[in-house]
Amino acid sequence: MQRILNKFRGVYKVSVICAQPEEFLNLCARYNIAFWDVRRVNEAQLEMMVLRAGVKLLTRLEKYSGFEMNVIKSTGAAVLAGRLRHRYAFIGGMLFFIAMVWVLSMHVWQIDVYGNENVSDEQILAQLEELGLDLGTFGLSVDSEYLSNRMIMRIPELSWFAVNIKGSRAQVLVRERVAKPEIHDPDEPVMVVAAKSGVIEKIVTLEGTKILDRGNTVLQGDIIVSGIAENISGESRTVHASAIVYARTWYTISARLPGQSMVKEYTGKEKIKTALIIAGKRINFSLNSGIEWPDYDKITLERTIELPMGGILPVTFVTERYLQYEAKTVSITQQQAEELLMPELMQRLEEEIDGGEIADYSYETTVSGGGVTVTLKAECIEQIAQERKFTDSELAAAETETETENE
Amino acid sequence: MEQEKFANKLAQKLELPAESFSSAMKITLVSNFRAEIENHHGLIEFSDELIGVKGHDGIAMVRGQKLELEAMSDSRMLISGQISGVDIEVM
Repeated sequence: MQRILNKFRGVYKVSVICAQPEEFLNLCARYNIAFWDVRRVNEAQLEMMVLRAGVKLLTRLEKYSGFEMNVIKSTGAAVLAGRLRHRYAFIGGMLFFIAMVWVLSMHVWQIDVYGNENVSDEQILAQLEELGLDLGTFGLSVDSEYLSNRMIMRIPELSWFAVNIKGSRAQVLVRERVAKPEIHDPDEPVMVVAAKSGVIEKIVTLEGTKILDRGNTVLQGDIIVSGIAENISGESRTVHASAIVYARTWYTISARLPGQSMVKEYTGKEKIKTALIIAGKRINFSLNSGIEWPDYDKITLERTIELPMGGILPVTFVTERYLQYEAKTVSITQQQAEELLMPELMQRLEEEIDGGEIADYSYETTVSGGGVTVTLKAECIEQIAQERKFTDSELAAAETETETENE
Repeated sequence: MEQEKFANKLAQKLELPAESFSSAMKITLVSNFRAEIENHHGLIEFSDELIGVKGHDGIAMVRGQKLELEAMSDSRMLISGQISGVDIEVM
């Protein structure tokens, strides 16, 4: 603890030359000058550690006490402050720097948007800019309540909005309005039609009149269960047809790869450029800003200065790394093409049948025109029932038929 | 000197520490690595192997190796190092 305190108070290592070093130490004791680490260099010389206050006193005593003192080394905050005492420009610059950091840290230099899925960040930021919250806005002037009220009116998809200012960061929190669910009207007259072409494997009619049955071939859009049904007394009426229909469907999906492909081969040459972005203004440190290579990759790394307590400064260091490469043409073998395309084709099929079952499948590969084509042929069993509202003509015909029966 | 003797006797009679009424040096040794000297009257000798301290009624010579004067004030002194012995010479 004492050592740490001494670091602040300023510690000097001094060399003292005198006829009687013992007398000098007695003198220090008499004047209460704290010293330690005393080392006798020779008969007439001592080295020891003294505090800044002790050095001052010894300098005064030196004039009439018959010893010579030289400072060998000095450390500590007080010593440093003493050295800088007359460097007015340096002190002024430091104070200016601290003031600038303080002033800049009170402005918003980063806006993060959280909680949005359908409304884009850009849309929110554009509206905020119009309402006065942008990069560089004074943090204390941001009125969260005002912004919340205005933003909800301007973007109807938002149901809740809040802005928290933390240092130089503005944290924008939003909640989106939940879309009104589609209301299923059980009394609305609908038909059950085929969503895809195939052969019906299984059909369970829940409501309506079954038009097609197991083993029938259907084309996409064909009516499977009609929304016109007869009641017990034989009268026709429109109903909300409902059915579960499984059908055997067939797919042929192809994908093609050219016989040759371009790949990057890095030469090992690279260039690094640095720049500084201050409040949106970019300062390049590289004199020659052009890259003469025809092909290169560019990797950009941006680092923003962060202050404690969440503050950031509008200063970003940018490091751009350019890696030269040569574009090489390589041939793709049939096996490589198959390894690449087969999983992709299977994934496309699974997306297409959406939970259906793949009963059988096979791949075919053909090499033609300098390329490789892989075709997936699959037989699947899947649900194809889809509800469709009555068309106007169907509805009119159904009504006419009902009225005729009533007469 | 007479005063010193009287002070010692008084301390003995009152069952008080001897240094209570006396200005005699008090030397406290902590094993062989530290010596604290109180009521000293200054250094008379200082080196790595010998530190001589003047007292009211004599001198004390602290002998040893790598002796260091850790701290010193007007009345107290702290010596550290490998202390091999302390010689006291009463005048």
